[in-house]
Amino acid sequence: MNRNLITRLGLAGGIVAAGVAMVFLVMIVAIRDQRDATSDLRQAQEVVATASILQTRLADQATLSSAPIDSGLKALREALAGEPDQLARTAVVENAIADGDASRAVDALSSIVLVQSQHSRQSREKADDSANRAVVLGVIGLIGSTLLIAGMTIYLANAIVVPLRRTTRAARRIAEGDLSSRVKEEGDAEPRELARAFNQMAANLQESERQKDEFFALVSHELRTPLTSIIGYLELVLDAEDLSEDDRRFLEIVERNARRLLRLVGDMLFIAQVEAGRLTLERGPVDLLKVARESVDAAQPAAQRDMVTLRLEGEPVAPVEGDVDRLGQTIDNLVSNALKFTPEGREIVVHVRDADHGVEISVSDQGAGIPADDLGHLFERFYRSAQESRRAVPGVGLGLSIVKTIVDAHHGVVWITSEEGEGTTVTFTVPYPATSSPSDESARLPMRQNDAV
Amino acid sequence: MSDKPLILAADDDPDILTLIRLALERAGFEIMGAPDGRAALELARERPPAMAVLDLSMPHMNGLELTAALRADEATATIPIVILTAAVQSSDIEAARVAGADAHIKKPFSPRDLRGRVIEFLGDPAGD
Repeated sequence: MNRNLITRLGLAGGIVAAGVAMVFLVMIVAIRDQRDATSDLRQAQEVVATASILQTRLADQATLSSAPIDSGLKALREALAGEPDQLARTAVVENAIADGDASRAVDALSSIVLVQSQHSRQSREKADDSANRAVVLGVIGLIGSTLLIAGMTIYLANAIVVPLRRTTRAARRIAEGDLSSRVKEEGDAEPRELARAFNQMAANLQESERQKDEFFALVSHELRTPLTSIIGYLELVLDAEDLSEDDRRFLEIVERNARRLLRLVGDMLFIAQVEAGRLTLERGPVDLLKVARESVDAAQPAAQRDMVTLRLEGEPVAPVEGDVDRLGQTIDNLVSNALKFTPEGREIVVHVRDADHGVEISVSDQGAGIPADDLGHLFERFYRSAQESRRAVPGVGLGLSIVKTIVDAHHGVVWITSEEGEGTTVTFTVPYPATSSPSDESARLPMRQNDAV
Repeated sequence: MSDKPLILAADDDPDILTLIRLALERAGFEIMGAPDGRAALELARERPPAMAVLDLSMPHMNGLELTAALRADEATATIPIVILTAAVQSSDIEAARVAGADAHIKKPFSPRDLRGRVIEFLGDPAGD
């Protein structure tokens, strides 16, 4: 049975409207009756007053024909205009006056007053009836309309508000990540249609989420497997001692590029996992000086190739609480960026020092510096400065956005200072663990985009 | 036939299986390789190895199931087991530990590092 909400609402609204219209109609009729009765009454009062004045004058006057009596008669005729019976009686009064018979005239006037009083009583009764009827009907109509409106409100609450709330709850659960949340498909046609569309949407969302997961698992596996072979066999070949100088140089280039590809895959997967809210930190005590030294050692061959001096300056620091691999990735990214922008013969310094509430690490290069226009955008994902594009510097603009994500997850801050022509320094801090706070094993990484630098 | 330590290697990618074989044979180990978990388990039952290097995702029987099966077998209950994994999820690494693996190595791995890890467990055959 297809129960259509619009039809039902239309029907209920129609009934209410008809009820209200009926009440109005009855009241208009009553008001008109009342008005008619009032005007009748006024006329009657006027007639009675005029007749009384005339009677008094007739009684006072010695002679019956005089100006005041004539004007009284004239007024009486005007007051009785439109009532032939009463005008006939007025004619009798006139005749009596003409005959000089005052008592007959007074009698006739009395009968006019009597008839007029009856008229006025009748019309007053009629008006009272009409008013009573209007009050009764009005009250009935008012109660009826109120009941209908109350009924409609309750019905609307059940037919619309309840399904809406149900759908909102399900939408909220989905927003919180429970994609299996569904709404019961019941009630009137429209809310049922909403529930069905909502469920369809949720199912699609769940399916596309599943496909995305599958895709990333596939990419992770399918891209890493061949890279594992490429990089592994290259190492075996490079281990051989009888390679010619040229061959070794070429194979090292192959290896470098394979590693670049590997890092790109890793970066993409990192972002994908953060987006899916599925990346977790494996927290533990981290010696950032050691991590920085490892990063610098790992980048040393690349620095030598580019004829750039790469130095670590640092003092022993207390351990921080964090994910050692992710913090290493952060320094790797910064050093790799610095290498991209530092010309031959210049220097890159990685500096580790104890700051007030944590460890401060900075990577300074002697590159061209970054124009002020670009500074605010550097942490945006896929942002590439005009300089990078112009000089065809490799990269897709993920490095700094990853750095910021990781530093944020460690409750640290990251900032960039740069002077054109002088060089750029990227600094980040990782706070020392608060002594009282319990260490959560795996904190979810918050993903914030477009944060101000 | 030889006194070289025997290592069971399992990976469904033949190139990577060969890479493991080359890396470890050069260090003086003997390798028996299998392309999936089930074949690897059969090999291990015929000749119990001194150690196992296993890929996480393989057909028929994955690295976790194979680890559990090796642990259930008396002959291989205590051998060192290293899991190779391309997975970056900490949950997978945790699952490997729960199944009974002693260590995991992330793919792509350096043959040199693999060799180092194996020598950590079994000692260096060339060293003595």
